[in-house]
Amino acid sequence: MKKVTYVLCLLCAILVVASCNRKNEVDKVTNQGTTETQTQVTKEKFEVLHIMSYHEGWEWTEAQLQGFKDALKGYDVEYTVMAMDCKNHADDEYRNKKAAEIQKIIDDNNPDLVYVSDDEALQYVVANNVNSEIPFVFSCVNKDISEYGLAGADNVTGVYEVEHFGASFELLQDMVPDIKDVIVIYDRAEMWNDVKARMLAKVGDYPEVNFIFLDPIMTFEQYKQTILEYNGKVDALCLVGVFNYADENGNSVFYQDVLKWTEANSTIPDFTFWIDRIDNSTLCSVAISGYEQGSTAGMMAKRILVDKVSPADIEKTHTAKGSVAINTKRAEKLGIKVDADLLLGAEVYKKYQWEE
Amino acid sequence: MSEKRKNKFNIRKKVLFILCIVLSFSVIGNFIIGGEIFKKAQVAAFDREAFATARGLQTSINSLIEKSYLPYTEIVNCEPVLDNFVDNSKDVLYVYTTDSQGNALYLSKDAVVDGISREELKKGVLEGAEGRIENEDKQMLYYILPLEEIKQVEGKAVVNRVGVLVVAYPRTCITEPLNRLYTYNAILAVITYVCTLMLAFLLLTRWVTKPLQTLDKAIRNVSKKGLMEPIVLEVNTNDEIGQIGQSFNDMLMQLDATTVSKNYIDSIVVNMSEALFVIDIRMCIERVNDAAIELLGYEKEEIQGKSVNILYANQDENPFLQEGFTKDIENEKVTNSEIEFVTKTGEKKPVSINLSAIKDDDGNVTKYVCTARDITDIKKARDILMYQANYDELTGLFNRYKLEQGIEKILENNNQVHTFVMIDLDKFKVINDVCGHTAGDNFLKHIAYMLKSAVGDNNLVARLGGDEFAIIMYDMGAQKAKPVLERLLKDVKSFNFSWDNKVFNVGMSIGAVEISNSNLDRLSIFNTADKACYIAKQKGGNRIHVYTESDKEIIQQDEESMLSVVTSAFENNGFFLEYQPIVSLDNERKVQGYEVLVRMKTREGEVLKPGAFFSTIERYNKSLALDQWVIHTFCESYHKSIVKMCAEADVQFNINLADASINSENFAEYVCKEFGEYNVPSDKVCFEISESCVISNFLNVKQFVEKIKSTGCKLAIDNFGIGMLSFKYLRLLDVDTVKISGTLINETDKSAVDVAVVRSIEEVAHLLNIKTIAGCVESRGVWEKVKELGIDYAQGYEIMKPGSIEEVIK
Repeated sequence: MKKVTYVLCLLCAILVVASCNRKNEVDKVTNQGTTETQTQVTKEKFEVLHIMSYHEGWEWTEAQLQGFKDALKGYDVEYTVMAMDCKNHADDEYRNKKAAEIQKIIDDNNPDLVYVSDDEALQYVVANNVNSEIPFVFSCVNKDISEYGLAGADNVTGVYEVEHFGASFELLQDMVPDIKDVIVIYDRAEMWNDVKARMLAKVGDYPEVNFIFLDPIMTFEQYKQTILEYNGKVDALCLVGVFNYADENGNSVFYQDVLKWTEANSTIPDFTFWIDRIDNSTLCSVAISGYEQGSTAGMMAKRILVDKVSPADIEKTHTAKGSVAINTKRAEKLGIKVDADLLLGAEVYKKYQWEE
Repeated sequence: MSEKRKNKFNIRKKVLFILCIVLSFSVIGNFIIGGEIFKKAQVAAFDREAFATARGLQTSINSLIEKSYLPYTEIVNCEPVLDNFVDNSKDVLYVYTTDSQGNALYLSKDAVVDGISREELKKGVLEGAEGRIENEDKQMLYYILPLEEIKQVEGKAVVNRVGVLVVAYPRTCITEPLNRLYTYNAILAVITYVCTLMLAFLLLTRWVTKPLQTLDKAIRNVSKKGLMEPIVLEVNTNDEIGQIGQSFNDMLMQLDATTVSKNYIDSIVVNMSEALFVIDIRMCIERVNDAAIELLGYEKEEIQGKSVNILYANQDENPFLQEGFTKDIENEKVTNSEIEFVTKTGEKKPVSINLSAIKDDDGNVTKYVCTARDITDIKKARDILMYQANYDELTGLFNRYKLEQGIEKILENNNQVHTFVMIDLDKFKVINDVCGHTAGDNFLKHIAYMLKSAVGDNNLVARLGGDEFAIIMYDMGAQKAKPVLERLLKDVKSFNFSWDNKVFNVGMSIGAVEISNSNLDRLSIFNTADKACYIAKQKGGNRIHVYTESDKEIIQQDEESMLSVVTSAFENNGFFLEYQPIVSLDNERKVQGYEVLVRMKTREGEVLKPGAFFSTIERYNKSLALDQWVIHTFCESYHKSIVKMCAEADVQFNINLADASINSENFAEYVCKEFGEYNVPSDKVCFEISESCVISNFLNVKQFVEKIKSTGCKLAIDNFGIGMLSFKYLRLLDVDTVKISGTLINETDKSAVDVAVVRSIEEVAHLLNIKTIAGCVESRGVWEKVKELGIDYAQGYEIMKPGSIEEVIK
């Protein structure tokens, strides 16, 4: 009788194991193609002040804010957004006045964290809050922050805006084989110096290609002459600085107008490092992603707010992932057939912004 | 079905068998239905996954179509996209797209396009719906999704289907998981099956088989050993088996309380002294006991199975052959009977049989039971008693009882004239005195022979006792009889009896009386003849005297003389009581009681015994008065002195009663009154009634006995054995004691016949739980004999002559 009992127990154990396996098998069958995600929610509430160097509604700045917000998704964060609108106001008086207003808000509200995008906000606001109690996180900053007097700031960290030169050029190579000569165009802004330096550091990766770094172009007219001069003579055009061309009156020409002219008059396949240029007829780019910048900054903010990590302990970094973008209308105009593979992985622009 | 087969399928196996069937159906049903459900679920799930995967590629291609400024048919390097999809998609074998006509357009590596007809693909384009096509021959599954181009026409999006996307999977994507599932299901089913059976086995063993085995063991134990060592079940459950167990225990208790074991019955049957025959309804002997074997001399095997007729010596007596026997025995109308069995050797054995029927629950007879008791000795004794009752043993003549019966018969049919003769031998005492009783007896035998020869067989010759004889000469008047008697007288006178060289010549005094219509009753006839004989003897003897009317005066004078004496005794207190001890027949001779005897003292001082005056007392109806005097005198004496003298002795007093007293309606009340007045304990008194009284007045005797026994008095039959009172009367009258006649007792030291008679009386009396008293024990030899025969008590001169109470107690 005891033997029968033992055998029975053994069989019961086998039965349980077999049942579990069977259940797994059934689950495999019935749950095929379904996934499940969980979101952790914290009860703590944070106040974040976001200072845009440029204006609200611009895709670039909005993408950064969205990336920042998504990184903090699930946390109770109250955002206050202040836009300095420096792209439309190049004078220091305006910028200092705006910075003072923002500083007052900072002092009054004493936010848990201040998130700033692009260089101007760092230069005019953050520079006045070195080593304060409030942590600052930046994104899309081109210059080293030491140039803004923030070298020893323990309360500041963030993400530098580093262009994807190699990736962008190789994208163009995929679309236009056998590129031998490339001209690189800047405007007069100083911030392109760092870009130029980083590009020069990498051109050695393409020894068969001749990169021609033109001197900074001061006026729009000069720009036009340069383009027309190189039409048919070079294989590619790298558009870096297009914001600070002066017209005949000395006023800055809106960069969309610069690019519109380029589309109409240039036969040179062009590439750039910023997404907004593709929408305005530049052929392709592995663009710096404002969203990625904002998202990386958001991750830093999360460590500061939630994990209570000091900004000084968070290394400043830059984003490595860019967004592939192709303007197929420009490609069609240039007679370039884009591989399906590239098209699938790219953000495709089939029109120009001004057409919308 | 054989026994072996029965055992093979016990309850546990039956239940397990049923369970196997149910489980088999369940498992197979579950396997089939469950398999079908799982198959559908698997197909649906795989469809979801495959379509989701395919939709990803569909979206990509649609996106390509949308993104590219080139037409769908001119997409640059689309194949790598498809290859990449195949490489990165699980289970996908290949993909390809078609144009709107169903022609293959872009193919991934290894793509095979003949699995689906062009018409089907074209149909997919036209319908624009997702679908799955199975190709069982190629063991393939094809998921077909439409490819669409969206164009803006006048500000509105217009969808244009440009082809279909075909994603090919191997059928094993569905069948393999299903097969795995089936395998798991099969293993699970087998394990469940085995576990369930084992669990059922365990539980059935614990809950059913073991309790039933225990119950079976207990029942077998009862069937083998009966109720000697019953196993009482331990009942722990209240289920059906528990209830059976409890019922079994209750049954054991009930059986133990009410059942007699077969061994016990067998022991009784085997050891019973009566022969027992169990007879089946075919009238064949089914079973006999040892007593039956001993009775008939058969071996059991020789008699069992034989017809019951083998038992009966005379088939006319065979009750089983009697008409209506079956009905009679069913109605219990068959009574005991005495018949003769025949033994194996052909010897006939008288037996008393009792027949009864054994019936089943429906009242049908299943067997007959015959018990038989060997009554050989009883029958012999009874024959002897019958002889004794009618014959004189010494002479072979009829006895007084038979003589009286003869007279009674004559009186009942008194149409003829007869002569009654009484004969008294003259000087017979001389022979006894000179040569002893043997010589006297021998002489009497000669005389008897002479009497019988003289009167012939047609007449009745009887010996009344001693040297007195009587003859009834039928159909002869005195005149006709006289010559016969004279010739007899002459013959006897001339007969010289020689003994021890001595010659004796004995005469006879013969008294004769004619019995006719005008005649007397039996007693008168006797007395008349007796007086005639007396006259003959008075006249010198050796003569015949025929009674005449003139003799009546003489007799009357004598009787009047005695009546005078009796009357004087009543008036002058001439009666008195004597007591004779009745003692136990052992060495202690313990006094059991005293017989109260009446004596009469004449004016001359002579003491007379009842024999001298009792006929006068009876004739003149003084019996009741005398008995009342006896009762009164005894009670008075008891009250005055006896009670003190016998204070420490447990004795009883036997008082004789006359027929007249018993026939008196008020005598019993008188007795009670006297007992009450003198505080005489009823249980100290035993009334003796003569055997002849019981025979002639049974109903009156019975009434009287019931009355006096209700008061506690005891009853004894006096002078038992002479009149052959049937034994059944003893039971009917609830007799306590029989006093065996002295005429029998006196001869027990000489006569084997008397011994046999006395023994049979004693045996019957003891069977009826009646004590016996030997009367007239007058010698040591008689004492020893009756003691040997088992008689309980004795009285007589050997023990003590009657005397006053003071004398006998002293």
